Amino acid sequence: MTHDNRGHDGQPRESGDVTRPQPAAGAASAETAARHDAGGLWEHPLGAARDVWAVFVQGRRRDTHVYAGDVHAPDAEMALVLAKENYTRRDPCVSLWVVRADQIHATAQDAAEMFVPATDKSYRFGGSYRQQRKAFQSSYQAAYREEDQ
Amino acid sequence: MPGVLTAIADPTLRAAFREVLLRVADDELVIGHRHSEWTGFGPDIESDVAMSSIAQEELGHARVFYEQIADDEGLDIDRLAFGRTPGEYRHAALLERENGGWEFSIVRLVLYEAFETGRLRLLAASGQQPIAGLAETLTREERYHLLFAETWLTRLARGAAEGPGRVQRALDAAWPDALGLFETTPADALLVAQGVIASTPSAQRAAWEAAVRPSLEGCGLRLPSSGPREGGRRGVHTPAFDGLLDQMTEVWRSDPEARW
Repeated sequence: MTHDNRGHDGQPRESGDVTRPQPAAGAASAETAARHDAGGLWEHPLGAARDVWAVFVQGRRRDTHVYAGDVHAPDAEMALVLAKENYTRRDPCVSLWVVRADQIHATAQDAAEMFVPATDKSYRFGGSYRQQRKAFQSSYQAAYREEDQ
Repeated sequence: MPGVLTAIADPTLRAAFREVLLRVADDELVIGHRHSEWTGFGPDIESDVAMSSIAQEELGHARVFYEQIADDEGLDIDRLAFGRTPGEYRHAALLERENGGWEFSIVRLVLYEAFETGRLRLLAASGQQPIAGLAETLTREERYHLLFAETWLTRLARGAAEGPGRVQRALDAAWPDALGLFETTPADALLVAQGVIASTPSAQRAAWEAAVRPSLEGCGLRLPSSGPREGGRRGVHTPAFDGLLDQMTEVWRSDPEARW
């Protein structure tokens, strides 16, 4: 985060470092360089600075860790210490993950059409799965509320 | 539930316990104000937010202890916190010192939080409800404060450039005031004799030294050999407190009867 990038309460605005699809500048190694396929650039490392850490917050023990934003820190321990005050002040949290943002690869915005089905695949969409998950979660939460507190 | 002070029948013992509660509240209020001075000026935005959050929490802790006194004595809590003369405050000098550099605030935080953790533990074991329960709860937040402070301390003190020297100088400057946290008045002996506080001030100081020594020496710092600088627990403060009190109470003084 930088001052310019700071929203309310130090939370980054939507376009944080990690969401900006910038290929690594300068000499990238073979491992981390942007990769092309027949359609052009399709994936690349985020090219984040070395001291940027992506922060993932787990709200309750049965939730997945969800990306919340970034912190600048020299190492993982400091990143966790800073993430605690910057990303868990507003909502419940039981666990944090941090990972160096320069380890994250992303599909290119140009490649978005590969996610669009060419034929009707609505049979796969699984809306009912989502509904079931929602029902499951709310009953699970009701049953385990005390344990989660 | 009757307040913690009204439940103590013996007036001398009650006054002694009140004095301890006031020390805690004043320590937290004054260090909370000093920490809040970093808001907007921290070394990076993440630590700025974290230090500001710690400042808020210290003020929250101060409030808990002021409430105990104010409720029992029918006092207005803001008047208790802001409406006293400098000589009526009972915090130690360590907490009123100006921040100077970030390294001083970090060293002070390490020294103070180790002390505060020990003190809350004693209050939690005091049997005086609801203070004992509250002290237990507050320990949770102090744990993060100490973690934040020690994480920063290690990185500053092990730095390659001017870091180690600056941290050592900050420690040398803070040490006599830190020992002043343990300054005693007759209240301390009475509370120990009556079994309210389970540890003598000298035993508390030894336990504190044993707690901070590994953190400090572990990152290459030398423990100073200087003795304590006292006065705060008796209301004798340094000139730094006049400016702090003036600024901290400015809004309250503009209209002491205002309701929020």
